[in-house]
Amino acid sequence: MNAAELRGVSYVYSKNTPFCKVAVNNIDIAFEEKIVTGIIGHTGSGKSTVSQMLNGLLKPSEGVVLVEDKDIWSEPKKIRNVRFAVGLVFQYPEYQLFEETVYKDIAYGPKNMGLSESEIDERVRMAASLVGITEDMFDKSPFDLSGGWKRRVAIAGVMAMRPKILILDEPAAGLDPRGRDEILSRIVEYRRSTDSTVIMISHSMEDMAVYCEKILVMSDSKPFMYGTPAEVFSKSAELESVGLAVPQVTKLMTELKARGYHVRTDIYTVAQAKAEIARLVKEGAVC
Amino acid sequence: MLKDITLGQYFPGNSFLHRMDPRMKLILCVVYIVLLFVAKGITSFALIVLFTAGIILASGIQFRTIFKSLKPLIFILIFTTILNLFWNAGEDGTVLLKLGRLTIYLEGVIRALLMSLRIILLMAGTTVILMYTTSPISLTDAIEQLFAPLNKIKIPVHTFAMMMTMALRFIPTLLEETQKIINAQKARGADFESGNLIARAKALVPILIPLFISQFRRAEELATAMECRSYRGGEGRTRMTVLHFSSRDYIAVLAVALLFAGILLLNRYLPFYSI
Repeated sequence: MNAAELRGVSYVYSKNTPFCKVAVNNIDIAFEEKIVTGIIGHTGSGKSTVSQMLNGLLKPSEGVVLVEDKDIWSEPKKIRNVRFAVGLVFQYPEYQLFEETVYKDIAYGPKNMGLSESEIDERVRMAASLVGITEDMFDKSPFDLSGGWKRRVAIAGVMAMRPKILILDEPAAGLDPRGRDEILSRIVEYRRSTDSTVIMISHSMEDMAVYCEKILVMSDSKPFMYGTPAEVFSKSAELESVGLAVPQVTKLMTELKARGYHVRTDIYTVAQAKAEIARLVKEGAVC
Repeated sequence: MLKDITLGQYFPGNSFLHRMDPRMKLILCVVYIVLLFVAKGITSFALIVLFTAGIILASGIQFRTIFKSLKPLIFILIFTTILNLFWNAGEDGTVLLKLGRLTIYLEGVIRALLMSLRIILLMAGTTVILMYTTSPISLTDAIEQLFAPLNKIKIPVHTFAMMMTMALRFIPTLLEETQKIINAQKARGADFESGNLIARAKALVPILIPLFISQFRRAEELATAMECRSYRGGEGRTRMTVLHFSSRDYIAVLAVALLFAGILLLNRYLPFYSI
């Protein structure tokens, strides 16, 4: 089963004005359930529009959006329930924090769901521990935290709603390398521990290669390619034709091969490259 | 939803109005407003309607956009119409309808219509001349230059103009940011539509706090960026684009002068139900 699906969906911004712009054009996309899917594409390729349509913040100009095989716009009055089922973390989510304490801010979503006090408490604690927030931080003001921690609080705020599908728009943008790895691996951890689906938008091929099971490449308001990281990154020429690049390690391996070393070129993470080069050294092909 | 507010938004273009000198547009806009209050009868209003339709056509802005910008006026319009409808024309008025102690005169109906028309034209004309076809930057540029004589009496015209430029410049940014925060809170299940007044006011807190914080941050960053480039106010500052009057501007002056003369003549010789 697919976790979410777009069928024949188009979206036009500022319709009937001089600023009219087609963001996505008659697209069909299916997001498989219980995996981490990555969406890559250039600025303006329609990634963010897709993510906002999935949780009902934008209503498609044409076509249907299905979440768990149900048209989310069949009952427009109940669209809030869709937003609880499909959690969306925007780009730079730390700018949405507003409560006095970290605890209260994480509790905002569950509170809006109308859950009981004990249920809210349980969810806040779960979400906090998932992103690495300890209990002694609960009473701090979120505005006193550093950027990276603010981001964690904001992500926890969405995780606390325990959405079946969690969508994140550039969750690691602007973080240092360690912060990136930490946040991304915690998102994968969320997926595993709650048995949910994660959709992640990113510009970083390296991150995608490590953390995603499937990758959707978007270009020019349309899906361009879909497959496992190995499948997608093996088509480097096609990626380059739409202005995207394969991970740097893949480039390195291709270059090594071109210089006469017998290495695999379907390598897209540093760990794989390390193993491959170690094999090469062991076999004595390099002196 | 917030993006639909077109009030005070610039539509890039290359029309006659777009290419006019902003100083001239500002002056003529003031004249246009004066004219709206000089006009008295149906005939002179008809002339202004024609003129306004003409400049809208010349600006290349769609009529639909203009109508949309009139939407916020609806309450003022209803209020004006109702108030003027019961205007007492006195002894020689033509009675149309008697509702108990209230009497509606033909003159009252016409007065109500013309008053509403005046408000509509005021909005439509000024937005087309100034807001839609003049970029905020060139508008404040024009204001700064027109008010430059005030520098002599120690009024820091440049500083005010700069403040205005920045305020105008950040309106779209602010709207965009507000929309972003609204979306983010909606994604967390915020509900702005239901509940009583207090509940709704409370629902705004999650929007206002992040908005204030980001605006203060932005102001600070902007101030730093300006100081880094040694900004010290207007003294000795030269401009990248120096404004010039062209034949286009003189044609516009002529058109407005003709309109002025036409209205004065119609007011005097064909006042037809003047108000």
